[in-house]
Amino acid sequence: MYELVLLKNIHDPRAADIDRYIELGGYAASRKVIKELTPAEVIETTKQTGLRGRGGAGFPTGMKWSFVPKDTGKPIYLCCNADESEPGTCKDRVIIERDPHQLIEGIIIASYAVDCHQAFIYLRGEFSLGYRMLEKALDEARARSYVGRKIFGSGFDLEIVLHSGAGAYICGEETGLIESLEGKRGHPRQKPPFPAVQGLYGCPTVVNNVETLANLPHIFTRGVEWYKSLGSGPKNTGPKLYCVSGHVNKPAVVERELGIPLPELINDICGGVRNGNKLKGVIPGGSSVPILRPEEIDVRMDFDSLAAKGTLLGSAGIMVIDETACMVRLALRTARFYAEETCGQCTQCREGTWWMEQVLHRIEHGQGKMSDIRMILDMCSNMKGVTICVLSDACAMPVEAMINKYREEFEYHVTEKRCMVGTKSHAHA
Amino acid sequence: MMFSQETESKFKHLASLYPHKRSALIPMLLVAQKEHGYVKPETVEYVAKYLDLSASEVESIMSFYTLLHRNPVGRYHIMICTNLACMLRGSDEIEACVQRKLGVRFGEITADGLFSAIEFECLGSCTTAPAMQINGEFYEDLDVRKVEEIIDGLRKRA
Repeated sequence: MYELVLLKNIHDPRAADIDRYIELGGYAASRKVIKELTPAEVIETTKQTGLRGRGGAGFPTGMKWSFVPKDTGKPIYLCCNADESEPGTCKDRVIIERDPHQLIEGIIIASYAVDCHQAFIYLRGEFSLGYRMLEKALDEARARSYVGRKIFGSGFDLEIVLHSGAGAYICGEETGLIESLEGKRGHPRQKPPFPAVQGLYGCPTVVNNVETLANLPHIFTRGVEWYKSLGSGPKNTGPKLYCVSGHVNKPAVVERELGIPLPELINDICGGVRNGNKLKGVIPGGSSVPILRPEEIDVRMDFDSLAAKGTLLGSAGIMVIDETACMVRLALRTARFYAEETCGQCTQCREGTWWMEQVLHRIEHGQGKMSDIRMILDMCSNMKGVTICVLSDACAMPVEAMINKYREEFEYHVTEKRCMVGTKSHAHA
Repeated sequence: MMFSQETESKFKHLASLYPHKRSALIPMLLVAQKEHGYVKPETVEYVAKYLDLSASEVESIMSFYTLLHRNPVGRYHIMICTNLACMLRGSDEIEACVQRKLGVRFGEITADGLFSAIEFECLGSCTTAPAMQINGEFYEDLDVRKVEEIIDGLRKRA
């Protein structure tokens, strides 16, 4: 039986109240960290746990913190990336809305580790309830001096500013987030310099995801050995949130160890494919990652096992797709999203996403040519690894995989000028 | 007076929160929009002046963000998620139902000014799909009957 860590409080309707959160053991970890440990010890402990960022890239959190230079004379900033907008992903929202103090504690610990005295929560503009919950939680924490001047009676000052975005997927990219927080268009920046050296207002900056930060109180309550006992190996440790959506009987945000087998998640925990339908594919890490065919899903949900299968853990937004869905339509919807959300700085992305949508649109509507399929694959290879940020790759990778793995559906749309789903050829594909 | 006392004091607070006051731009525009329903041209001028920016710069930044409206929307603004997870769970029907109920197409406002609706990108409601938001609040696990009840309920309340 898996014991919940990150979601342990979410079914307690009062967990968002600071008194109840403290009754449940809350703020003990952050208090202990600030009163008993040095920042270097916090970084070292976090490194030892093997915690990797939960926003998508999986970069080791302790190492990210250790890149922050201490001697620049400039302030150091921490940004909590709460701009959750990767299609298929709804995990951070659960923490924000139902256990906001857990996140605030994480921010306190991370800020202390990197010597930050002003942290920002960049919250998705659509999360109105989340905004109210965090605003109230921050007020409560301030009233108890857990946030503000000399927190927990120590000499450490920390102000946390709640900042609302206004609807732009690219602001979840860390340098896009920083630009947006500076009051500009959310255009990602060329790297290097990395934010750790030159981030918000040109100062050293750490950007950490909500779920990543929510891990911290538990690490400092239960220790490194406990943390490392969870997961599928030394490079994939700790608890993990998975968002299982689409054609399953019981869609849910599920917490298990990092590296749970994907079939267990789909079949045992989420009730299997709906109506006894046949599985067509699974997108394992949000809309930006390559899809897996049914014969490929016997994989552990961790960074390295999914990479070995040619896809990514990403945000662990798992979308389950059954035989009733048309792969051409899914590819079109995917391309349309990135065409809508491209910031427009790089030609390959601005033009590539738009053209991909146009060409997929004509295939979907029975006006495509066989050469269109080759053309899209060609575009995909020209869109990868050539732009300032990875939005362009995030459009090319999934579309390319959909075409390569379900090519017969695209060709059927071209030759028969209609959808293969529901036809005899589909049943045999 | 262009803004209420409350909005003015929120502006003042927001401009004081950041090491560089320009960071308050988007939050200020959201607050202004809450009062007027959209960002009026005068608001752009006003906020630009407040933050020592040019109006054209504010316009340019605003155009980047989908939640900032440069034109009026309905009193109830419906955003229907049509991205993958919702699409797999039937957002097509939700879209059709909303347009049928309101008798307008996406981007238009009903004659009584009450409703407007648009298609929207992933709202982060994937495990409770299909979903939509009305004035920023979530409505989840939708079906046609539920959508009809929600819209009827809002009509009655108005």
